Amino acid sequence: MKKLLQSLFMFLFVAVSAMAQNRTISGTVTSSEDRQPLPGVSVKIKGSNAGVSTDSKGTFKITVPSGQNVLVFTFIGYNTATRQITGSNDINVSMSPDATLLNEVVISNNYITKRKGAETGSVSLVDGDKVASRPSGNMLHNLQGQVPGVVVAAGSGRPGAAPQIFIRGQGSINSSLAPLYVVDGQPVDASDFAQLNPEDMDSFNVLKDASATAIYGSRGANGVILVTTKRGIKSGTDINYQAYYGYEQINNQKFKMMNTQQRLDYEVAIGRRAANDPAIPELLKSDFNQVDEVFQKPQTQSHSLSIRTGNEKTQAFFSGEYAQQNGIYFDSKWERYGARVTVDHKAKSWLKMGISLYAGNTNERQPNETRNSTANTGMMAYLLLPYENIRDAEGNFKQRLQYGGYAGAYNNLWVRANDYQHTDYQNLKLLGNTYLEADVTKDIKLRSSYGANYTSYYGGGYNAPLIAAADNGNANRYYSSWMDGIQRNTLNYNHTFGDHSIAAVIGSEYNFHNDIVFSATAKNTSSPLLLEFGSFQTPSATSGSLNKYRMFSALANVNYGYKDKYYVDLSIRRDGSSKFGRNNRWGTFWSTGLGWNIKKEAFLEDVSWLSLAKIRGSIGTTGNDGIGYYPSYDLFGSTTYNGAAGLTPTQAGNPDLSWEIKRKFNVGFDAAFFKNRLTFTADFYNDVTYNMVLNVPVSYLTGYSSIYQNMGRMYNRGIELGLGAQIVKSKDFTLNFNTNFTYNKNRVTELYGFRDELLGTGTGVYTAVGYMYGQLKYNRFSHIDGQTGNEVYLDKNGNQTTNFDGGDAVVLDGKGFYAPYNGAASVDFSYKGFGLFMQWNYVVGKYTINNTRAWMEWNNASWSNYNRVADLYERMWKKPGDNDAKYGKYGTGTNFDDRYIENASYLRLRDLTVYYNFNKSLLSKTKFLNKARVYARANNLVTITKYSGYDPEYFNNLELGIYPVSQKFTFGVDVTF
Amino acid sequence: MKLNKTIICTLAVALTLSSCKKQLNQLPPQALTSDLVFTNITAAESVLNGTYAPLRSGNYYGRNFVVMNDITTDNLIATSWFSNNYSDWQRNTYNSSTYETRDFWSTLYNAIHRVNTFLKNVDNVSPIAGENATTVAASKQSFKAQAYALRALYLFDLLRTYSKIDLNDRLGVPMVLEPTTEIQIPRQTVKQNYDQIISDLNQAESLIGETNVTSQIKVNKYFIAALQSRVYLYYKDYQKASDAADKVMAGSFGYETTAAGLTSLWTNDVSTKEIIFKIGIEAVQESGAVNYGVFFINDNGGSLLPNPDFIPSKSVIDLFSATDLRTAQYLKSYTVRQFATPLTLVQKYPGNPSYKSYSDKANAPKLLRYAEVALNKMEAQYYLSKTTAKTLLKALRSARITGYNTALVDAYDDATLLNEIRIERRRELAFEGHEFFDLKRWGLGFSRPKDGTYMATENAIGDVPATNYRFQWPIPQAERESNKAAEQNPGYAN
Repeated sequence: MKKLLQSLFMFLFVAVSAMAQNRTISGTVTSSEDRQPLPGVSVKIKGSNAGVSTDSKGTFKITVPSGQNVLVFTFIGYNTATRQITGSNDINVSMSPDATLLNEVVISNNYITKRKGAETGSVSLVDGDKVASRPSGNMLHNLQGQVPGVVVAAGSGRPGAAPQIFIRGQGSINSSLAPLYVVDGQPVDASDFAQLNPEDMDSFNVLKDASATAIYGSRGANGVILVTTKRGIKSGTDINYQAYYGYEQINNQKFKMMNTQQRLDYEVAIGRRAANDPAIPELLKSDFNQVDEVFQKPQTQSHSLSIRTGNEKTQAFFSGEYAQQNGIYFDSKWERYGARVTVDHKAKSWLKMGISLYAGNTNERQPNETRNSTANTGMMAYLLLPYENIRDAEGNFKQRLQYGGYAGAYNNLWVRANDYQHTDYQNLKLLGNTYLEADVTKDIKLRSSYGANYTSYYGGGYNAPLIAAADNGNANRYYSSWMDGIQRNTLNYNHTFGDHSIAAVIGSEYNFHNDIVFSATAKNTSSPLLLEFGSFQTPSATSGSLNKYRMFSALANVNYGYKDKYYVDLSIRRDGSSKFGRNNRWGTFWSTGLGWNIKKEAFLEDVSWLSLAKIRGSIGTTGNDGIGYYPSYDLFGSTTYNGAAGLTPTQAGNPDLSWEIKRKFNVGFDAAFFKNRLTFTADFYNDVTYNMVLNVPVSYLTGYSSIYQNMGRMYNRGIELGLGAQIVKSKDFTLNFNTNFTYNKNRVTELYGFRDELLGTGTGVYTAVGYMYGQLKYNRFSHIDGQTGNEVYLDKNGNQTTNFDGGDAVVLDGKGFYAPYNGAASVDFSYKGFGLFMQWNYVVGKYTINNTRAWMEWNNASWSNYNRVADLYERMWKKPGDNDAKYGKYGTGTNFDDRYIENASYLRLRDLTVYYNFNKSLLSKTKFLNKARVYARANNLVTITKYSGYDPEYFNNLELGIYPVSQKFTFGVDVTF
Repeated sequence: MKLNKTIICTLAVALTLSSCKKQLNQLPPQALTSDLVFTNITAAESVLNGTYAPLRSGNYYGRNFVVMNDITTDNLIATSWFSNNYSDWQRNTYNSSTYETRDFWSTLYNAIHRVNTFLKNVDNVSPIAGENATTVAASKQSFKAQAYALRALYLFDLLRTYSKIDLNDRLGVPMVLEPTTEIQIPRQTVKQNYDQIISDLNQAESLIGETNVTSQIKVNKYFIAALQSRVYLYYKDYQKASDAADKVMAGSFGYETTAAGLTSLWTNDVSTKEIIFKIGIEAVQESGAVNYGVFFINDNGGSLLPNPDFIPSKSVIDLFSATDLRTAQYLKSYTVRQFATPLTLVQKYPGNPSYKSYSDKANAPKLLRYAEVALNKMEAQYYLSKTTAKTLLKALRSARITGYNTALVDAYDDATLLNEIRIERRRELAFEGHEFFDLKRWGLGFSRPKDGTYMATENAIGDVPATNYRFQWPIPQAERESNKAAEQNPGYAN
């Protein structure tokens, strides 16, 4: 009774007081860093559970009973703020980021989510914003220079072409060097990123050492790039629109080719043209720089719209994109359409589920990129004679070319412009994943997920009868499709008690891959106007293949922390893969990591200028299974004789073939100073690859050129440094500086046993014990003999010889095509919303064979059909006594020697952006705009290099006729409603 | 609710762990593991077909081995606009890292590996249900005969290329007669290689019987005899060379004696008289491998003017007279793309019309011809009976040259006769890949002067003596880096 009365009394009292004395407080919460509104901040009345969240504009409204006068603002990653309620009903709060948490990556690696600061591995985070909005068909290019230890190199400037990414050097000789790419838990290929919308990406985590990658087992050796896409939000709705528009052009290219006068002088000198040829005066009237004539300046554009919305129970993300990028090669076209839907839903208090689906489609028209073809646009630009006018009087391309090696041949540009030849591809990508997550107890969570990555890639091309007369036209059609799937079940345990914290997972995983390829060619069209594949009446060839791969895994990881100071992290994974020999299918990979958060020690707790100090260390093993699908079997493949089926031995088997293993060791140090104004991170690593799956070169008498065996050992050792500084940070004026640097030393320490070297025939790439991978070995050029005009070489003993012989090649110390030094620096400066951003990259110690230049300089009958470098005539040997000739006499050979090895180190202004962020007060007048930004951007504006070829960034040992990386100029907007 | 959780947990774990072992056993869908190959006679025949397939490789008779041996000597010259094919060969600067020497080596040893694999395993084949044991046994015997003959051909082509044609020379080629994983394999002597070639041919002869006797694309008794006549002639066993040639000449072979007959032989690859063995080329998939004719005409199926890389030298053109039936079939004057006045081009490989819709300028390589066998015998008989040699020379010229006055031959003294036999061999077999080996075994050098401005400057290398070390190709660098036991030929960087 007493209780009842008490309740009644209280009810009345509260009700009355609420009626009489409640206050409504409203305001905006912003981040102290960038003064941007913070949505989703929890606003609570101190001492009660009542509370609200800020909306998408960072505003809140809360009813406060009288007697309560303190509001508490909490938000993940920020210091908790408290505000006394005084006279005003408006409270605006600026929240500052939690210093101890900054620069420490929270990592949710598809298997486990660890407490902040608990990570013992080397992980670098790149925010999705830093990758988006730059005009690269394949967004991976934009990772260049973002984090230490990651080298991104373009293999081609063709729109959408994937770059090569190397994390911590080159850890294998015959297996793949590519990291494992994982998008929302689903493994993908580098090329798949051309199919994805960069604006969908929330973050890129680069996992490098054993502690971070051992959980990826047999695929973690080259590091892991873990991509997370954007998801919905818990309150409000954000609508974001981003667009850019611009154009591209060829980078400053350095070859100077002969002009008409130089060319004619040369032709007369070598006897190709009589000195009194009556055609000369007419030819002199034409003088073209063919590079300007052949390359185009295409437009590029992108439009992306996304919606993030949701409530406490259901969150959703939608996006759609159109991007278009035409290449600088004639008839190089590329466009992408993409759409994504992501939904997360809390179905029960203990059950959460979600799905993310992406569909992307690219259409591409491919130019002739055949490296050693004179029909390759890039080569043509150099090789056309300067007096050749490729256009007629109306400015259209001429049908046929007239001079030199192209005399009488069809003008490739005319052929393309008039649709006599095409190669078109369409690539449909479906990427999806779904999960179910159940809270079994407060600490135990069970998660089951399934992901799929499906590609349908089809296309083909035709040559009209006009240009394929012998065939009466021909066409090919290509279809391939592949499906990667992953099924993963994990049981997570997270528990904190007293000073102890534990995060643990056990799980199982199943990966599968199926791919098929089918292609057919046909000839003889019914009519020159019918160029669709089905119109060609005579089938001429078909081919096809099917590959399957399966992998089963069991894994476990436990992370234990004591007082947030000391961490131990142990992981183990066991993989069984169909790629390996039947005697060695299963492999076990493990890691041990230790972390010490020194800042939390008593003696540093009061050192206010030090915000963070942490030491990490790890050791463990990972594997590399990038070796093809069936390397362990003794195989007979198909052939024919006179059309009858034949069988022939194609591969020598090795049933013991086993995992290539990389043992990784890492120590790292993270520090932050002055409330995180200055951050610093350093890592030293020593990765040893052993038990390598080598294509062991054998005697050809075995019937093979090589046989797979587990042999050899190499190491990559290096240091990575990163530094970030907010130099100026005031209301109107900010200046940020970031830089990173990587040094990697690679050495092969063991090879085949019976021989300790391998020189790729004709490539000059030398793999040998004691040398770096990618070492160059070449014949040495000495000089041009002043009496005979012959090229004089040095034999392997250093004696002069005019006899070029591959057996005289020598190792060129310190010259390899993988650079040991890589780095980047960026500056971001802004004043009252106006800003300037610059990012520079540099690569030092890289050498490339400039095969393109060799093509331009060779001085003999065959090559004089094409234009030659400008100084060839002036500096070639002409008569006995020309003792300082640079080039040999007319009629010299086409050998490769060290003359064509060039230092391809470079410094490049990767990005220069001028931007304006509209200020809040201006935007608030529009009622609907939350954020708005406009910018003008130039990519690859400046390249400083000694390299004389198209592009020093190109990563291979030898550069010949590559599609060069272009300069891009864009103007863009980014608005949020 | 508790029950729901339990069900989900159990299902999730069970799904992953099922059927794991079976799934890890993924066999390649488009290749057979070796243990499944020699399980029936049909598959064994497929493997035998696989031992023929290297013949049409571009590194062998499909391309290089037909044209390169005339490019490196005095039959073919590079034009001043040639496309840099065979760059090192036309300048005679080939060395141990030149691609073609490695590719020839690897193709031929791979071919021998195919034969060795076949011979080692074929006896394991037993009849399967429904097959007659006697038929299977007979098939095995005829298959083996073909395999031995092919191994002899492969070994002989390696030996004559990399070694001196001299039974007393120490540097033969390395040789294995069974599949091996050994990497250090030294060279054997020329005599050891020669003995093996002879032994394989004898073995083939004893097993072949009447197998494939009417076929021109498979090994039969005439293939074996024709090859024997060549091998014996090379190593100067003249009686045996002549005897082997007689075995061929006892068959229904002979000369084509009309222009139409020669056109059929060279354009259509059809002649029951002249062809002993040609490579079987099926139009759709295989004809693309044998389009070496593009080096000589290169007119994009007739849609452009010819733009040849290689044209006949003056010295070889001068061998052909107007009354010679071969002239029109071997040589033809064309207006070309890059030169003001018409030039004489090689017309021997104008492209088989039945391949035309699949491959431009493709002809089946004719490895063994009646005329060569007759020339083999003729040359052998020069050392045995000058009269017989003259009779054979007269027969050939009467067949080829309209109104040939045979009295000219009767009047030859010994030196002239030998010289004329050699000239006739060069003329008859021009552009077929014989010139290099014939000069080598005769101990003759050659001369390649500058024929005219249409000839590439660097191609005019002048006089090359018989002692030039490049008459023996270099052992490829790629082999010697693994197989350190294989000694390099003298002259090349070691």
